[in-house]
Amino acid sequence: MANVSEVFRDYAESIEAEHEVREKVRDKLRVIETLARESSAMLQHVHQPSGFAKIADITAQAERHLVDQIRPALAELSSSVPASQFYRYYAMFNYTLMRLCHLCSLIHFLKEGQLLTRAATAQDWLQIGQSRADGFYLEVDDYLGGLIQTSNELARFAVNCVTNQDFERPVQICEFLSTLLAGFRLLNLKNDNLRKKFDSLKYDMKKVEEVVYDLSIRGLTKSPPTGALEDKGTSPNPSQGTPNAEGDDGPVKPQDG
Amino acid sequence: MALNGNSSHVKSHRGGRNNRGSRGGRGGGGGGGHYSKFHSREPKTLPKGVDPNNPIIQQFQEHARILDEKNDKYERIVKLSRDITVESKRVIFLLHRITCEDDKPAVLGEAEIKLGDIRKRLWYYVASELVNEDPYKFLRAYTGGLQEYVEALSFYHYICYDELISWEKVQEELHFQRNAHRPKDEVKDPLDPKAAQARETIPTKEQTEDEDAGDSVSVAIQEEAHPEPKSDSSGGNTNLKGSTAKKSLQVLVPKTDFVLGLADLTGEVMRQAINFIGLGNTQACFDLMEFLHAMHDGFLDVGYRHDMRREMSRKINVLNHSLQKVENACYSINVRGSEFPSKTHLADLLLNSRESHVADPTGPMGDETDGPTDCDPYL
Repeated sequence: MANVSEVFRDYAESIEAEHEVREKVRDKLRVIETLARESSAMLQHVHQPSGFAKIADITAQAERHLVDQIRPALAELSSSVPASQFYRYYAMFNYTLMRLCHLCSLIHFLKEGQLLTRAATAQDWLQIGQSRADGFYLEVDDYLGGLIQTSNELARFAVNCVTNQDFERPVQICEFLSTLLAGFRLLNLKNDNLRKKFDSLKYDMKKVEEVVYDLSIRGLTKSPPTGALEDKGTSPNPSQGTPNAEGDDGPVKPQDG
Repeated sequence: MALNGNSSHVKSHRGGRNNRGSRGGRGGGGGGGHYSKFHSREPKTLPKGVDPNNPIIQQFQEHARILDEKNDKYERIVKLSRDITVESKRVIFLLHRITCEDDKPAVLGEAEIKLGDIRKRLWYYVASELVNEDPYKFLRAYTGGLQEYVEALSFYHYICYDELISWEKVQEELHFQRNAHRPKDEVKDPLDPKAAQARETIPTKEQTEDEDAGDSVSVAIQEEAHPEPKSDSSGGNTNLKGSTAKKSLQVLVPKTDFVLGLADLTGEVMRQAINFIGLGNTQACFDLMEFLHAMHDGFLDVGYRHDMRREMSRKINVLNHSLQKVENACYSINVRGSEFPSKTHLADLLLNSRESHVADPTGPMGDETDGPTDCDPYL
């Protein structure tokens, strides 16, 4: 039957075309994956004594690597995905985007001790869009997944901080994770990957809390951690002690929790 | 939940359950349809001790909002897709009731109406949801319904025109045009308070935008049974700011999903071939076998290429079995036809043959029951 073969011929052409696009995307992706691995390896050094001593150097190096190498490679990837077909090929690269978010937020935290926002990650660091209108963009899911990977990393780092005689950083990490956890709790997660990752965040929190506990009962920390999210203006909250250098209004008395 | 032929109101057919006839295509604001009203659009109450002014908390509230909108929309589309699946299956059962040429006009007429209903009452709302969205983002949500619909539509097309429907025709079916003040929704049930609410909240947000999503092709498809009412309808109670230009919507039909639907078609064709033997029409069996061979050739060509989904190879497997069944039937007709006291006897024999490892859901007389081969993993 003539028109049956027409239908299939047409289809064969379209999958050939799709296949070509996928090959291109795969090539660009491989480049980025290699670079991401390099970056990860660089950052791993902070866990070791030799690297711990020069965290600032390592983060600077990683940041340069990101700007000089990863960013252009990402631009290449972005241009290999046909405009307005972002989601058609999304499953090929979304995990990689997640890893890149993780690297960005990790570097930023090691440098500044702050959470890197999605806007900053997309616009400043990766230089990709934030919504469909921008073509190639950073989905919320990937940003959040990256944050959790960072949390996993920082939980491990907290332990190594203590090993390297830094007793303050774990406190800082504890507050950071506590903020993240509170934030994540606001999400209505479905039973997908993000949900599973969220569970790992809770374990990270627990681990770091234990580290901080170990330090504080031995009097090794100068300032016990505050509940970083306290609504500092209102009456009794189960706060854990004097606030640190966050600059708040007025003293908060320690309360029995 | 049936789409009754005589009922013409969306409301009444959805009566028994929460109305999720999603009225709004956009993710923002109150246009998300009734379902979204369950989720409060006000900021969530925060747990005690959490500072609402903390910028990180605020960011996460925004993340939550974005994720909620996406998930809600996804769910709405899944529900529509389920309905589409059910109704499409009904069309197929209907088409199998054709026993002879005389039956055709009545049955085909009814099938056409049902297909039109699926299109206007279900696909239209999927298209609304997909306005300004990347269709691939929600494809998983509607691919089940899409494949089933392609199966029904192509089966209908085959019986009518004795040919395989093209992808273009299927895509055209899922194109819609919408007037600025959406008269279709308004004529449905003017007394319904929800529709009134929808009328008030939706049009301004949607109709003022004139940018094209980029994927929707501006092919104008006129509704067959309900021509777009020209500006009569209730122009009064909407606060229209934009033009009255028509807006074009579509549900993207990816070619792969179209072809997967065609694979299911072959199963129906096989059933029809067997049924016809039982009805004494042995020639039809040979004709249908020719069609199945052509389909089989087509699938062999494309089915095993890279990036194909697992589903494709599973369906090709089923196609192989269907083809074999029909080939055996033709063989039996030629060799053994004279032995049997009645044609139905032969049909029984062919239907109960178990060469296929896939359970054949048809009963001895070709009565349809829902079978495992029709199950869709996405539902």
